[in-house]
Amino acid sequence: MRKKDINKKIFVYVLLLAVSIICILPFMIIISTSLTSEKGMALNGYSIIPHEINLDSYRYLLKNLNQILSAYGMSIWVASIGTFAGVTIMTMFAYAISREDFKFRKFLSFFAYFTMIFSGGTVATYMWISRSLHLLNNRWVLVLPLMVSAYNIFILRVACKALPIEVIESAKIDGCSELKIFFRIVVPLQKTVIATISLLMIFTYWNDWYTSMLYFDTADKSTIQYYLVRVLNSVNFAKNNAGAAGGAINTYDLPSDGIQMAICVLAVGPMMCVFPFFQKYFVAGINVGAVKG
Amino acid sequence: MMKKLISIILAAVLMAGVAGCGTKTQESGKGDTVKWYLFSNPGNVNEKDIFAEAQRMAKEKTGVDLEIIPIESGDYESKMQILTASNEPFDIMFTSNWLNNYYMNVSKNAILPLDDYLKDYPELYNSMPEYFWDSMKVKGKIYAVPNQQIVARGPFFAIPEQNMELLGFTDADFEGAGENYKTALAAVEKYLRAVKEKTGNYCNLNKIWNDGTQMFNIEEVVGSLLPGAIQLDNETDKYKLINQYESEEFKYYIKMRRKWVEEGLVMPSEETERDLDHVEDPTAIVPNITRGNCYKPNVLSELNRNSDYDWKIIFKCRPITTSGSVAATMNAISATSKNPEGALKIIQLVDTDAEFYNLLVYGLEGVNYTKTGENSIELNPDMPYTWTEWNVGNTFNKYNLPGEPDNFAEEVEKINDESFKSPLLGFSPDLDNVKVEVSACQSAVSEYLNLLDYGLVDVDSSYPEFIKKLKAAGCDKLISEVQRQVDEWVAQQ
Amino acid sequence: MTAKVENVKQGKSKFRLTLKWRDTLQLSVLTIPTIIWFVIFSYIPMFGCVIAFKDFDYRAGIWGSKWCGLKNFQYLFASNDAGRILRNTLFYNAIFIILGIVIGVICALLLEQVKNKTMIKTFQTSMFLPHFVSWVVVAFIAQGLFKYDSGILNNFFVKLGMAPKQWYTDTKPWPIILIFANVWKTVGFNTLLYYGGLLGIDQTLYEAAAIDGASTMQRIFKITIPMLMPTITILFIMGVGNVFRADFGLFYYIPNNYGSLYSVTDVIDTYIFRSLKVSGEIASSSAASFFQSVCGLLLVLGANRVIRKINPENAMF
Repeated sequence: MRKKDINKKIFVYVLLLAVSIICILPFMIIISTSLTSEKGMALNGYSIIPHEINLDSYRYLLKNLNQILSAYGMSIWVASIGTFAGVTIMTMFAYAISREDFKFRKFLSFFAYFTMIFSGGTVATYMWISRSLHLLNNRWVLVLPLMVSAYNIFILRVACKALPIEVIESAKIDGCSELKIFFRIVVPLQKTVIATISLLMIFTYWNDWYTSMLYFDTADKSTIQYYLVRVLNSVNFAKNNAGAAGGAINTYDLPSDGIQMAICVLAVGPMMCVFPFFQKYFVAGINVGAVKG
Repeated sequence: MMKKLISIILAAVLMAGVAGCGTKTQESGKGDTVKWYLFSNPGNVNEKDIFAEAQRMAKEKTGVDLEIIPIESGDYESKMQILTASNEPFDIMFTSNWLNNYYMNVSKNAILPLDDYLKDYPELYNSMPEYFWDSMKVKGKIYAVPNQQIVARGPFFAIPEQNMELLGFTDADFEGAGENYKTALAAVEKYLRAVKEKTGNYCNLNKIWNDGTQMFNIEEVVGSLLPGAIQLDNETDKYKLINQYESEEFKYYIKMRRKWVEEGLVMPSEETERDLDHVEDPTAIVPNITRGNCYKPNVLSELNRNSDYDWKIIFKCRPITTSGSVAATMNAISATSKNPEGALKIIQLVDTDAEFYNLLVYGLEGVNYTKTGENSIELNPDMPYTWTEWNVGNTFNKYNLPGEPDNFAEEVEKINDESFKSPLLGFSPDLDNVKVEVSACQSAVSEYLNLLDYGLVDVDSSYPEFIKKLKAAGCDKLISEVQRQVDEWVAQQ
Repeated sequence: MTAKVENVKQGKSKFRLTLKWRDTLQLSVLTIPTIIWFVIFSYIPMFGCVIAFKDFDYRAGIWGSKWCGLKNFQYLFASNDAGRILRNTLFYNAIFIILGIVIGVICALLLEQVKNKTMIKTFQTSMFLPHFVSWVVVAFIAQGLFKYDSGILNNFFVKLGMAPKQWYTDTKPWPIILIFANVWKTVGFNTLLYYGGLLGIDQTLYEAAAIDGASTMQRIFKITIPMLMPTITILFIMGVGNVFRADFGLFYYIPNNYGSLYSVTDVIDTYIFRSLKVSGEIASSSAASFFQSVCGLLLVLGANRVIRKINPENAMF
């Protein structure tokens, strides 16, 4: 019996370890490249462990420290407000449509899902947002269009459905209104899935650079992602169009591989710090014991 | 279920109708601020100051309020496409035959025809030779202002200077190599063999066909890399379109390139992967050869800047000017512009006033650069500011950088004027009716061209496949349609 | 309406009560903010769908442009590549859906076996890392792997005495490479979802099964998987709805847009992107997008109906 248990444990650990390593490897390559000088890259190419620790790339990027800090600030503002507001209204919606006895359940589910399939396209959305909603160059344009997603709503709905109807009934017998039930009972029980969706939304907001590119005239008030990604886009542009215009595109000014990787590290790094905060919700310890009580 | 579907769609349409009403364009008025979208470089530090100065100067010299909006070069095309498609009001934007496609903008009525306006701006009109204006006309009308720069495409080959001596070459060895493509390729092969013999290494050599067919005396008429081209030395029927991929030139080249790969003379992969720019040893033979498509007097200094050793041009081919090369850099006025006259005033300013132009390209004197002569400067590396010179305006007014001769502008103008002018200057194809064929041919070309251009596949098996795919994609229909348009255009001249 | 008593499932009973009008109102209030958002940011911009059917002239705008029927859809189907891009898109997406579920569930189950909290957190973090990286960056690394001259893989081959391989011209390994890349990127997210579902399963069920002498495999197949079915079903349906839409970043950046690989890497979205770059025809891309949407919708309705017959609770709507 004992041996079987140990074997099982080894099996599980080995598999998970293998998966984890495969997932981490590319990251190590990114970090090591960002720490290598341009000459080092030319000599040694990509490697998992850096041959040297050279902070040139970071120094180059952090020259404009003020700009970067304000970009970080904007990203944090956008991600926090957007996630909080979005998760709140989505959970409310998801809970309501998870209730089998809710009259509009089917209609609203389809209403939400339809938006996942059909979309007006960039041009129409741009015209509507800039012309009629007047959100150009306004930081709310970074928050509002991404706040709700049908995908997240359905994940939340599945989680809310797992709640046994008895809990709600017992609450009603105790005299609770539907709203109270939602805020006092349902939300505390859905911590795991709310944490998951929150993490996803923070991640979506953090990674979004397209919205900044589209609706802002300058990169000043943009998020950190756009501030950094535009460098990558410009590099690709220069590489691909070097001869097209006849005149030269200054290639000697282009950020090297190392700088591009450093950009990735700076853009992604903060997300890594956020992740551990959410992890406590992802570990076992929450049980649906409400019925027993 | 169907009822719900219908009710949702009805509701959406109603709401959309409401929304749609609010998105009509406004009337234009005089005296509005002119909005100019340029593309910027990420390393620029004091853009704001420079723009403020530019605005002050523009107001002083033309009385127009100017607003400059920089967009990252990598995002420029996508953003401008959406802005134009959404009828967003603005005034000046960059357009060309390779970015923010000029011909497409014309067919979508996104930019204004300028013929009538230009009558009031003789200074601008006379600032460039007549053939500049003729080359980019669409259906006889001018839709943009070309940014003067090198338009002649003169192919050349260059090698690391130290190789000349180390390999025992003299200038005489490459004499006359630029006469035609056969002699050019033979000269290149001579060099490759020498490197291989002395070092056993293969050379880095980029694609030759894809970089520009001027070297083969072929001008692509239908579009970049699309089948449909004329042979420029065809004396008998110079307007006859052929499928360049079925031409003798193409077959000759790909067979040769494949041979080079098989014999280990060039790298057996796409793109140069080895970084040969950082070789510092002057006694080493650097297995490198580069091909450029656009010879200008400062091309060597540009090459030298990018590597640790100096380059030498071994031979040049005849420079050729085509409609496409003139349409490569232009400023256009948007159809949504509220102040087209003001916009044209700004364009005239940037094309004729050296002070304004150089402010935008190089920045503030004393801050971003220091003057080393009347027309030459040196950049200040601590306050980097670069702006792509051909994005802004007339490059012939620019200050010279170190490495550029004093009469740089004149030299370039000379190259332009003396270049061979294509017989189809001023013709542009209307591809509206053959969109499907264009997409399909494009797909076929992107699948095979690079493989053949880099010699990565066996020619005898892949080449027939390529031609078969092109034919299936409708290349013949495409070519005959454009030929018809060419014949019509010729008749009208 | 009378209360219905449904079949007892594993000891739980379900009653359906009549909802009072007041309760319905309160539940509706919960949905209102989201409904408003959908109207403003999804339904109204949907008017852009008409571009697919119009000869879009920028000056005339969306409303002034002329209708042109299905002309904009032609380029998608008339080309001889149509069959290929359709086949690639469907093939890859089908595999992604299935593998996403299978591997996600397996990893979640594995993770459940781990009792040490620190180890759980470590595994979760590492598996989630790929999610943070954009495809552009992954493509960088992929190039480092597949480069002919000094790529990591070819260096390895040379060391073993084998000839270096032309990775970007040989189409054979690419389906596997792309599938692997997709699994790599999504494993963390999927695992997290299913793991969250696992956490919600009542432990007493397992205890009862243990008492009854059930083996691990029986436990997994008789208890765990059925309890995860709602999550699996919803993700499956949503995957099906998007089966005509490919992950652009994956198929464009990882094969580095090498034409030689198009026969196995070209999907609807990359094809449209390239066409748009050349022709700038927004109407064409709008038409293609509309086509993807309609096909997706039909599939979802079909899938939903099938699932409703099997287990109405798991259906989407």
